[in-house]
Amino acid sequence: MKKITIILLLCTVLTGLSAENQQNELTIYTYDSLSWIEKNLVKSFEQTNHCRVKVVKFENSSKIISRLIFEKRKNVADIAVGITPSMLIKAKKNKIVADYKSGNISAIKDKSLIFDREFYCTPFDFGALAVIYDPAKFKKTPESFDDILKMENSIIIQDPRTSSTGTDFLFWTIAKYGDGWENFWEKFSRSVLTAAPGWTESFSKFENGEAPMMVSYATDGAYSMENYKSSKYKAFIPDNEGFIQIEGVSIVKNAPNRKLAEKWIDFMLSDQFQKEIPLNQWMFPVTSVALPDVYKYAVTPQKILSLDASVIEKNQEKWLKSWVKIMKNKK
Amino acid sequence: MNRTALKFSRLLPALYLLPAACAVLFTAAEFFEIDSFSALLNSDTLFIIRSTLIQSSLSTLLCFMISIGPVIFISRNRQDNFLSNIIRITFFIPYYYPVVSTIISFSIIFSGYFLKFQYSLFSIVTAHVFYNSPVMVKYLSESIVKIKREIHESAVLETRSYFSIFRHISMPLIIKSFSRAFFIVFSFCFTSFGVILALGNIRYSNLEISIFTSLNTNLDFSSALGYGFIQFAVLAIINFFASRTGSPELLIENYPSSNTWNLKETFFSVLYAAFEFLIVSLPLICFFAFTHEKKTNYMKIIFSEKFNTDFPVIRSIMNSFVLSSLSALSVTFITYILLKKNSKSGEMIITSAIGISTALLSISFLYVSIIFGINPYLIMLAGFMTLSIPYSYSLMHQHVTGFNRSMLEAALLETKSSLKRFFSIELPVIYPVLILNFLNVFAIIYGEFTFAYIFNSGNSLPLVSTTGYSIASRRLLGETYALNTFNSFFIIMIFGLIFFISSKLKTGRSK
Repeated sequence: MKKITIILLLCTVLTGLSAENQQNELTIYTYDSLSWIEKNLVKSFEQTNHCRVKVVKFENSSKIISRLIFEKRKNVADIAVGITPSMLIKAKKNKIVADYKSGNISAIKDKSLIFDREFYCTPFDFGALAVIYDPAKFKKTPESFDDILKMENSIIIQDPRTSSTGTDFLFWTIAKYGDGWENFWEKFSRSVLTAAPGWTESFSKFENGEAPMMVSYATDGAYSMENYKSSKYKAFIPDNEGFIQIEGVSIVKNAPNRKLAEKWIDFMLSDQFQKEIPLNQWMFPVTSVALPDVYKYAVTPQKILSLDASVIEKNQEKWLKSWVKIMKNKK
Repeated sequence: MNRTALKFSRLLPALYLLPAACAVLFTAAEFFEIDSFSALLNSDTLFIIRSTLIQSSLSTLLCFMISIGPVIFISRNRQDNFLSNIIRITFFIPYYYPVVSTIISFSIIFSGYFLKFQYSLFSIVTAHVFYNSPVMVKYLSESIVKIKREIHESAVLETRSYFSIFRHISMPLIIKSFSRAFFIVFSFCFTSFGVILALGNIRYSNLEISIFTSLNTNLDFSSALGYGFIQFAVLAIINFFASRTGSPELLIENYPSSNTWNLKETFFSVLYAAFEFLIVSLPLICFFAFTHEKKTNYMKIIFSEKFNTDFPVIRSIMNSFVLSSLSALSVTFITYILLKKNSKSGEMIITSAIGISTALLSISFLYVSIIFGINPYLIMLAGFMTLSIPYSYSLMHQHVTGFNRSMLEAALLETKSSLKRFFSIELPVIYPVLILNFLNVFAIIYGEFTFAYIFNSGNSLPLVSTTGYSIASRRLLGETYALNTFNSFFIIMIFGLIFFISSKLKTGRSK
């Protein structure tokens, strides 16, 4: 009898401890760089919708997808913020996201930003990739990929297996060099100091002076001006041919709070949310909200390179394997 | 005891692996795909195996080479010698010194402040040598001090040089300890995670990192399981050969201590101690230098409310403290039970568990935690227990199995209750060992990184090692050094206690 009581008690503790009040709570999965939403926006959403919002931050965006696949049989999250087109392919393949067409979708100024016409993902910001550098460490400003190739261990990139910035940088080079992208990377790997797991880690390493260049965003000149009141870091788009990264938000399939999740997506397309993007996420908002003055320091590409979604879907895994192989054999 | 009961008692050690085995099998049932598993038979896998073997072999070899000087020095000057004691203190590093602190030190050294070697094989090997060479020094020096006096004296009479004596006399006699030390150091380097994650690059990945990457990026459990199997097999084979080396029958107490001053071995020993202590103290020095230079109280910052909203330092210290205490308590209790039912097969099972991939274990426990809604505290407790029982087992083995049998037999005549016998006979004698084991396991778990880092994706249960890594990876230098200083003092305090109890134990035994 004593043993049975102990076992029952243990079972109660095991299940009881885990039982959380999930009613009226919106669980958002996102990555570290988006933690700024917790400051004001989350509170505002909670007040308007009389709910609680729980923000779970992962180190990088690929971890969000991995976790959602893990939780497929027992959904915890309602919303995934920070989904890029390439991640959406994986998410759709694993059936972990649900479709939702927001009532505010018409607010998106450039309809080409809507990268999923089935609305499994709604774009909320975008920005051109760029290379940022510390001008104090250069006599002659680099302007092209060829300039970077001349400098060994000079650039910090992000690992495309774990970071959306890293994936899009790989796509950028594929869009630029076509079938010759592997040859380019064989040479470029010598210029790479390290491939950090995410943008935040790479920026920390860059700020710490580990390398004079880093793959980042075209708005970093504006960031530098806003935060350091000087052009401490400058950005350039190699050969002036840029690649646009779009970030989106998806509702998780079988989300425990679907209604709240829909409201959150509508909220992300509202002016209140969109006007916070430029100075917090350092990306461009997708709606027509006014940009801060400091954005005049953001560089813009003369030409936009892109890859077809079907080409990405077909080749992504193959490209990643080749990339890893090249980086492992770095001389 | 009847035959069934005997068989059951022999299998008891395997039971401790049951939760881990269930978690791995349950996760495998959900995610395992034979296609991905068979796709592992390619050049990429060979590359990873080769790279893991190269870095771990090189690290082990260098650990051995660097330890020769200090080993000879300690074995010659084992009594009341300042330098010997200083070297002995370094024994805490491989087990208790947090891996995040090691990473911070080597990042400072290799990221351009002193040398520009970050993300290279050199930085990995150097970090491994710092972290694991004390194991080599400990095992080898302890066995050398036990070599029979007559053998040594006759060698001295033959006027052999000390290095020659070491090579021709000592080495063959300490081969058992050497192979044990080799296995432990090689295992630590082979399964290294934090060091490779922070100081390596894609090029210097190893099996443990590959398991982590497979699970983390593609949720490719099949590949992870394949890598995990390879890792386990390699370590099991090495463990098998290491345990087959000759028995150290000639090793007894009373190796002669000498007061002769040998410049060469003293030089190497000073160099070794300086290297180890420089790495340990570097974040501390940086903390004081940073605080002075920036005129900022970083210790106050890391415990401030504002900082804790982004980096839950206080919560993670509390979590680590509670988890380490509970785990250490449970591990000490379970290990004691396991040792009371000690058998050769049980010993084999438990020591082999060192080769289990922490990454694989962590992700499996995470999955079970999600699916069954088990509280992360409980799951982490189970994980930490699985990981630390082998170490606890080797630490308590001699004391529990070597307990005076006649005392126990006499007690059996007085009472049949094993609980009464334990409290009245065994506990008064072995309680220092139990306390020592508790402190050891506490310190190991407090600084544990791999399991905590992988399990803690999404920051569900922040621990001090993962929070420290987050702060370090953001290069918040002042705050990193402050937390590291706090942890170092805490761990050094525990080590001081361990050192104190150990010396009490030794004094008690010699009396």
